[in-house]
Amino acid sequence: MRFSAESIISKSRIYLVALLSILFIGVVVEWRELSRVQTDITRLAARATPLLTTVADLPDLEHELRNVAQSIPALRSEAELDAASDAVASITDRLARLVARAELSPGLPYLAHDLRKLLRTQKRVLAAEARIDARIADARASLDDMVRVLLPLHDTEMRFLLRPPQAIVDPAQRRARIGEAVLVSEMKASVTELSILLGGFHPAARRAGDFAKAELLAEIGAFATRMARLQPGPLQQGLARDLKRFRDAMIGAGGAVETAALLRDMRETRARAVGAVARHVDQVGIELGRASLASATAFETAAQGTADTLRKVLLLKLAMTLGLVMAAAGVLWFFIQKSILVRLAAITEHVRRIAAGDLSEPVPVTGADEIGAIERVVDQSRTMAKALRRTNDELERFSYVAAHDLRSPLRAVADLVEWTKEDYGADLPQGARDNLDMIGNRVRRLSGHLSGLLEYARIGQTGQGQAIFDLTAFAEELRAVFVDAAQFDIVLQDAPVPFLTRPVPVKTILLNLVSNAIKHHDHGRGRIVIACVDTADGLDISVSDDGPGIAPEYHDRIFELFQTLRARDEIEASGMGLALVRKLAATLDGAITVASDPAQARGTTFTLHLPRQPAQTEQPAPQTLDIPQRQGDLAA
Amino acid sequence: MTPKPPVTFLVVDDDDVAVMAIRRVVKKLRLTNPIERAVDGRDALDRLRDTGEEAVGRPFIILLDLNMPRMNGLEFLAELREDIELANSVVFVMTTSDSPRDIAAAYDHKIAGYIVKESAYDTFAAAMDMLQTYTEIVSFSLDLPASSAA
Repeated sequence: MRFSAESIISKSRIYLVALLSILFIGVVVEWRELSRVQTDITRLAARATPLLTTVADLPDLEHELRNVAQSIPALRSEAELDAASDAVASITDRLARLVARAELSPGLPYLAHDLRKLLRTQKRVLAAEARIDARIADARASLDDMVRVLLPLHDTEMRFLLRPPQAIVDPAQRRARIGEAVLVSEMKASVTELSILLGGFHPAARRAGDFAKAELLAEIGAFATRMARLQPGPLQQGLARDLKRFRDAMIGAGGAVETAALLRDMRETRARAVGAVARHVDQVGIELGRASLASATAFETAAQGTADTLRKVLLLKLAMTLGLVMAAAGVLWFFIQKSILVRLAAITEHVRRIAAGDLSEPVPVTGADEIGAIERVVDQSRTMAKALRRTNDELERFSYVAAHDLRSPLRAVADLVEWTKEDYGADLPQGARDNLDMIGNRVRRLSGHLSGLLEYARIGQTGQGQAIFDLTAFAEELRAVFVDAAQFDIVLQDAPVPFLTRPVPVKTILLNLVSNAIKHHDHGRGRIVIACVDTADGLDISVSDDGPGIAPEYHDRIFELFQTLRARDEIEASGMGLALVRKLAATLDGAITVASDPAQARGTTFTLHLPRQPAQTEQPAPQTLDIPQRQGDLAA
Repeated sequence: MTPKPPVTFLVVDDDDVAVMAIRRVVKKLRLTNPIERAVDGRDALDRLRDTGEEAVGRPFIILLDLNMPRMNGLEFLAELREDIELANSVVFVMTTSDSPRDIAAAYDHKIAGYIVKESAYDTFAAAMDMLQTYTEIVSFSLDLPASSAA
């Protein structure tokens, strides 16, 4: 099939293509947004990975830093110091890398500086301790030398004093020797005292310096005083030299006491350095923590941003879909509304008006599509109905006028014939009187035809009211009407339920059918059966007789105007009855059918089929479009 | 007291035979009423309004046909009912038309009866019988103002 460019189908194709294009654009936009989200997520992962590594490394590194800082003061050897130095370098390296990677800037230079300072201080502490040890060893050696000199001397003096007194000749010598022995003992005691002082010297002890120095000075002074009492000689000189060595080692410039004081300062410095490192490590930890927190926040922000973007995409998609659906629905509705519904409503209105009999308003053709075609066809049927109505009106007018205009002269002719017979009948010969009778008879027949024509033309003009029709009661009426034909039994089969219909045409039809059955019966007596059968699509009312029957070849002809099957003179029949019946059946939307075959059996059955009454509508029946709708339905 | 003047029948019909028929019936019923005739509605109106020689004798009953040249029955009725002098005239329609449309239209103009000239003599005679009754009523009602004036 081909459709013009304006047809509904081609229009809907255009709409479909437009909708698909919108859909495609929507998908492209959505895909672009989703790609952006993917990029965002990749970037986020790239940023998050080192951050997470950093956060994992951080406690280890801090722990190591603290360990190193704690261990340094306990280091004793150069080798250990070197190892610690390497460890510090490695740790600071890692820290630097970490800080660089995590984009942090804690006080790393200070930490490295403090660590190096700590190492340096430790080195100096070690040096100082070594020096103190050396000095003390020196002092101990000088004390040893003094003991080595003093002990033999003391032995000699003691042995001399322990000799029997008779061996001592000279008492002066003896006194001198006793004095000498006391001095030696005292010097020995001084050395012992110095040894005790030396042994008690502890470089780490607080305030050791000044206290030790004073005690040492006092003891050295005492020893020097006793030594001065010695006779000058090599012994005294040796002892003096040793004492000087001791004194220099202990309290001289760069001696043990002075070095110990320095060592104490160094140790304090070292403790401060350890404290500083610890503080720095703490700070680094805090900084790193803060940094990781900041990173986590950044990560969260980024994730939040991604989620926002995703939500935006989702909302966009939702809005797009919604908008698309609404647009589609709107377009569809507009399309349906504009091109179908409104026009259909207009067509319906026109059809309703036409059905109600108003044919004046033309149906506008609003398009070249299918509905336009319907409109054109509806208008054509309106024009046709108008022409048909005009023809019918004219026909009716014609038959009315003709019947009346013909009737008056006919009436006059009948009157004149009658008067002629009345006035001059006696004077006329028999032949003339017979002729006058025949003229009167033909005039009556013509009058009857005219009456029939009038009645036929008038069908549909009156008697349209609906009412309940009781066939049982009407059968009684029929018997009363045909009381003259008492030889005919009019029988009603069963007892039909009264039904709603237009009684006037139904009664006229039945009257005509019964009248026909009586009029055309060849025996002059018979049985006429009226039956009413409820069928699927309505009611079938039949009138059956036991007359001669009608041959099938005449079944069509009997319903035509002025058609009779027998000579007029044989039976007075207008030939109007069945034509009237058929037209009346058509006004009831029904049909009349005949069933008869004299070759098989006597009798004829006419069946009036009435359609089932729709719910009682007060629609006036169309007056002029009486076209029989169904023929057929031949009841047995 | 003067004797009642007989009611005049004014037959309005273009067909002579129709007039003849009325005359025959009147004669057959031995009525003495004068019968006057107009050929159509126009002629009837002229005669009714004329006060000279051609004046229709009072009181009168109009027997009206519907199908006539110049002015038909219905047009005549319409004009008659507009005329103050003639508005109350008694009119019987006698016609061959048994069309319900015609009957309804005629009764709209307040006619006294509608007689279909269908059946032959019998119906017609019965109709004339009815007319007879009417003529008495018409003449009696006309009598009243005359006697009160006297």
